[in-house]
Amino acid sequence: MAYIARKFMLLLFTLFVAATINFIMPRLVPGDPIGAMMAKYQGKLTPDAADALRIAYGLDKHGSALQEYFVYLDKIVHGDFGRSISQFPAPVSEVIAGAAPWTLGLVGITTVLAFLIGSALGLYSAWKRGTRLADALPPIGLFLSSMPYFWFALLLVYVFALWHSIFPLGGALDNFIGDSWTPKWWASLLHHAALPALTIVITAAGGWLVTMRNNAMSVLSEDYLAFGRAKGLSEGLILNRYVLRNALLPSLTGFGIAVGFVVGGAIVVEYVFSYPGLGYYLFTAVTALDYPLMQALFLMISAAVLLANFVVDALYAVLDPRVRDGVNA
Amino acid sequence: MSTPTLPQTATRPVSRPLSGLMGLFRRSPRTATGIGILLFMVLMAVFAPLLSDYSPTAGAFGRLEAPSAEHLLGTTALGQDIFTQLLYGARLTLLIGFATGLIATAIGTTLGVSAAYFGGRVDELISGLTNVFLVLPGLPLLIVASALLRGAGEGAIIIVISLTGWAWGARVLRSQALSLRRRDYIDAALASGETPGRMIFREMLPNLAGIIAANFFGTAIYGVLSEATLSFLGIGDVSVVTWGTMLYWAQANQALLAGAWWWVAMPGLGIALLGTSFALLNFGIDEISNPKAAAAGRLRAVKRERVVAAAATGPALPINPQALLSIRNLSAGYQTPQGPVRAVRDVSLDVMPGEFLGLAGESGCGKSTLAFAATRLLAEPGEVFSGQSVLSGRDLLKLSEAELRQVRWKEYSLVFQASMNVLNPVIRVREQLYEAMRAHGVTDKAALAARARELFELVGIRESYLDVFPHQLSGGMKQRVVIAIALALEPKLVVLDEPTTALDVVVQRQILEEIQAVRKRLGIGIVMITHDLSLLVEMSDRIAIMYAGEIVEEASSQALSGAPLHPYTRRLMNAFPPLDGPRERRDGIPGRPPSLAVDLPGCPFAERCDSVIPGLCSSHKPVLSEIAPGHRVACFLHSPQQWPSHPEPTLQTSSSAKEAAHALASD
Amino acid sequence: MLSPATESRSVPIGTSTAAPPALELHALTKVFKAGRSKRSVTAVNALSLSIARGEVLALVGESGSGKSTVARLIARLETPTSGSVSLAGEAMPVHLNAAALRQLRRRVQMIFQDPYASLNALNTVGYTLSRPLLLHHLATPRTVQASVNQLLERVGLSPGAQWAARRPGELSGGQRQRVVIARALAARPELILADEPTSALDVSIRLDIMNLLLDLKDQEGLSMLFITHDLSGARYMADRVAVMYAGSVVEIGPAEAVIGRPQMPYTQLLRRAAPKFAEVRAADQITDAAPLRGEVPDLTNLPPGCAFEPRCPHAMPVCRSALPPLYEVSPGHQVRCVLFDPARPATDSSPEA
Repeated sequence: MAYIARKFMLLLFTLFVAATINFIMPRLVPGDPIGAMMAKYQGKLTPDAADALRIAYGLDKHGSALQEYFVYLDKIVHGDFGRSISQFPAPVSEVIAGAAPWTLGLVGITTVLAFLIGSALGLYSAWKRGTRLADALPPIGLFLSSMPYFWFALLLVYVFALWHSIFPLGGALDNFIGDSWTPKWWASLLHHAALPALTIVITAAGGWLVTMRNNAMSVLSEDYLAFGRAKGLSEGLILNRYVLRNALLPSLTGFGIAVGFVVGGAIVVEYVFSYPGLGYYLFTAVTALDYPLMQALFLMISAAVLLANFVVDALYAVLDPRVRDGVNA
Repeated sequence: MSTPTLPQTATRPVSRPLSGLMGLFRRSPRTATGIGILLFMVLMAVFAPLLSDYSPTAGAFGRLEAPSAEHLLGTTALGQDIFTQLLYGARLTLLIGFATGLIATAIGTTLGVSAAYFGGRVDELISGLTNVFLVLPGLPLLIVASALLRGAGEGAIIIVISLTGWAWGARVLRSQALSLRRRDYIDAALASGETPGRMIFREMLPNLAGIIAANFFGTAIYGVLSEATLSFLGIGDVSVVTWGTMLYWAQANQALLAGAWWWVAMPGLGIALLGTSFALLNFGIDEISNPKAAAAGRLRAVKRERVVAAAATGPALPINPQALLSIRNLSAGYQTPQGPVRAVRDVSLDVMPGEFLGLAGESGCGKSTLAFAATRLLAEPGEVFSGQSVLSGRDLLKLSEAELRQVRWKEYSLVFQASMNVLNPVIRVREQLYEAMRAHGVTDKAALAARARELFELVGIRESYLDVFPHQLSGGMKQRVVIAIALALEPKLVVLDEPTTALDVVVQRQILEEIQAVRKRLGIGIVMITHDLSLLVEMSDRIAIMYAGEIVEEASSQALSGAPLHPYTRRLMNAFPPLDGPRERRDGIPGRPPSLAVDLPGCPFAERCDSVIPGLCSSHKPVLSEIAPGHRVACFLHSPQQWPSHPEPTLQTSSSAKEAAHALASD
Repeated sequence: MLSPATESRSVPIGTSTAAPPALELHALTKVFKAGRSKRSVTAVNALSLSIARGEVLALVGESGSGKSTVARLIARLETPTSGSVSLAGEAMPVHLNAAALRQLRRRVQMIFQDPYASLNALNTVGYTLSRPLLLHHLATPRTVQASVNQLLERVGLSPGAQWAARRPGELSGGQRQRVVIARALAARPELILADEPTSALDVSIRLDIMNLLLDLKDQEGLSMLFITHDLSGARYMADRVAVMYAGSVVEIGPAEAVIGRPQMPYTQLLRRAAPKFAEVRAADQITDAAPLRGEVPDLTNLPPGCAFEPRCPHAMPVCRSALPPLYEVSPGHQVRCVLFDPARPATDSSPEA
């Protein structure tokens, strides 16, 4: 399984690069970051908080940048990201732990849903080309994939939350909902997740539609398809074994990168809906210049995307025998 | 030495010229729409001052007014005219889109092509860099980077967006450039001594133009959307007017809560439409550079012209009841935007049970089309225009889809060209063999396995190859597998289309001998199509020669090789230099076959024939007629009874026919 | 109709000729590193041969025999791992600077197999032909047009000016191949490497192209390496024939001898497999040729001995131990097979046509 081992090494290496970028970036900003923050939080930062910040930044040690770098790496490996400034005194890891399930739930499920729905529609659009619906789908897909996520989110909010109060304006749960995991709790959860999820699914599905359609079209013109038909195989068998399985593979190669885009879009969606996930906190951290939280979130998000990529790559190796043998498809 | 002629332009029937913008629209409405939208927006941006008298930032009007005659799109919370803002906002938005597209594409192209051209360490370094950037999530990186660059202005935003968006282009361009690098014309330019500069800029890049353009549009969309998102989040300079900052201000002023939906809808719609236009342009470029996709998409657009079947030049012959396959007056071809192409013209052939019929001809003579048409496997845009193809008493061309699926593979099967990719790459060979059998009712596992073993033994492959994937097989093995699948249900007729052309000569001989052995053992009828006449002389019982869509001669292989009658056949037989005998110069056939798009009134070989009878061959079409028992030829030289002015046959040999022709002409 | 150069066809190798050989390869070797695991593929294995001035040598072999690689090594599209290439007696150094490379590219030209792939579809014929003329200073920008037209007319595309304006997409396979030949001729080379120039063409066109090559060779005094998998084409074109298997020459000699009376079991196999018209069949029945079994060898795992041994009906234990040298069977005709080792005791299984 040299292929999977290679992909895992890439995963680790990229994480390392992400962490390094994280480290370098704030230090590229001219001036004194602490001083800038102090100025911003004029009077709101207690002396304890200021000290904690200095420690978190390693600025109390006055070591070289390289030494700070290794200290930083060491801390990350141990899960110590310091304390959040905007949510002071909560440690960053706590903030992340609280926000992560929301994002993973929302983004995880909607990405998969969007992939399935979009691909199914794309396949239909190619298989039944020539009929009206099948031919109308690609332009619709193109339009949907060119929409800014947040704009669509705003439209949905306007129509379904303001104009007709079907769904709530934002948040993840009703206030004062009571105990977790009760049916009432679940109902509230789903009620609040509906619009954000709808936004992501509809916008992302468009891209998958077009991709899958293109893949299916090129598979449909392949020689092995003609041979399958010549053998007298039923159309259903051809669709399933010949078209679907071969068209799905190229879609998967782009999946990893697409996840990156979806996560980007999800950040903005969380912002619009005040959905308390990683994206929402990233935004508030950026606005508040909460460097520890911001950096940790960036790392977490990167890690999640990289992991998703890796899983998809492994899946691809399982599905495509040519990859397993290292043959160029 | 024969002098080739310039390509003909006059004889081709001139049909609807597809030139200019109208042609583009008809060929690809999507591309045209994309161009239209983009053009509209650019004009909007350029002529903003002309289209609106107001200033985009001056808050001179009433607040949050709904759209009206005075303010087409209403006003903002600060009393600015939204329509004006939209117009001026277009400028920066478009600029950012194009700028990021350009920069990111430039970086991606340079790195991708360099990696491909220089290879080695350079390639490894660049690929590593590309892979890392490809996987890092773009927007979070952008957000964090932009936050740190507060107050740096739009220029910095453009650069940062470009730096996160170049990786995809680099990867695509690298793989395209790599495959280009291996093309022969690149090697040929190298071998000519071409300089590296010209190699890259004159030979490689122009051929990558389509991909580069597509990449440009892709990254431009990314740039526009990224800027919009960043602006919306308030990162970057919110004092400039772009469609993204408009949305920021709308959100900041709670536009939706106040019911001012127009403030939010219009800029967003603008962004969506701009993105769509880029995507459509991308689509169009893809269509242009990828003809397969284009052809598939163009399916519906081609108008189906009713093909008026040329008046049958001979009597409609009755079906031969004893024949296994009886083809009668078959005409088939393709519908193209320039009109129908008749690749098979009024062909009639018989294949007797257990007979080996060879069908010979050069490229473009229509032999493959004949095979596919007769076996009802011609895919769009191919079409059978008229005729019959009767297999064991049933006309294949008249069966319903359901009936056809039953007959296919059980009564007859087809072996495709050796160079084609006919095995499903993700399914094991065993399964592909089973599929054919299962589709015709064989379901018992033991029976399937036993038959599979039997078939593999028949074609000479080891049983262990049953459980491999197609890519693990060599060319010869793959073709043997295909033949095994073709024999799975013991059909009565097997049609082989250039079954060994792409294979090595030793493997070719092995496979052909296996086919012969199988045929003798099972008594199947075989039709083998190839351009290699020498193979057919060795292997077939009868041979038919095809030229420009018509059968010009048909005889037993001994008669054909011993005494070929048609001038084309004679020249063709002469074109194979022997392995023994005198070593002497031989000549090929000057000129080239006529285009199948043109319907010629006379004999298709007339312009290249050295025995042409002036005044006759170019204007009248000879009919295939029996000259000797079992030997048919379509040639005036051997069928004087067909000459228009002389009904009685008085001449026997071809040389005296020539004399007679001269005598006739001087009458 | 015999070509005027028939006389030179019977000059056997070894007779002293005044001029040094146009091409001499000595122990030429090329090892590729393939795939991620960096397995080594020995494409050309210590190959030696020579071509006299004005001679056509056919290099015959199947796919994987290394014949195309030999041409690419001579044209320096690949760099040899070891061994030497000499043109007109001068050895080519292993590392060539830009000027030396340019000189080589003028003296040695290559013709490729696929006429549809060896011309850049976006450039006109005139541009493609003008490049070698300008690069090697054989024409100035003012005279290049006329030179291009002349070239085109020499390969049978008249009037040259009209053909020069066309793009490859407007030409047929045969016409394209003529343009490719014209391009090769433009640099006024000494040696032409023709890599399967007719395999992708229709049967009736092949003879025209082969005749064109023969005529041009006589007119320009060229030497030619004609690579093919087709024995009959080799016989038509060549004075001498070399047969390649798994990177080595296994038989070499005058065309009539090698093709008419092949000694090496592999060559006999090739001859038996070649398509021929029925009347010639009978003659082959006599030979004790190799049965049609097996496929080409795996080049990543070459045995130390003869690579043909697994398929050879005359295989002996000694065949596996080392690759035999070339033994002379008759003047100018050499075979790499232990059956012809004069030191070996004669057995009754030596094939004789």
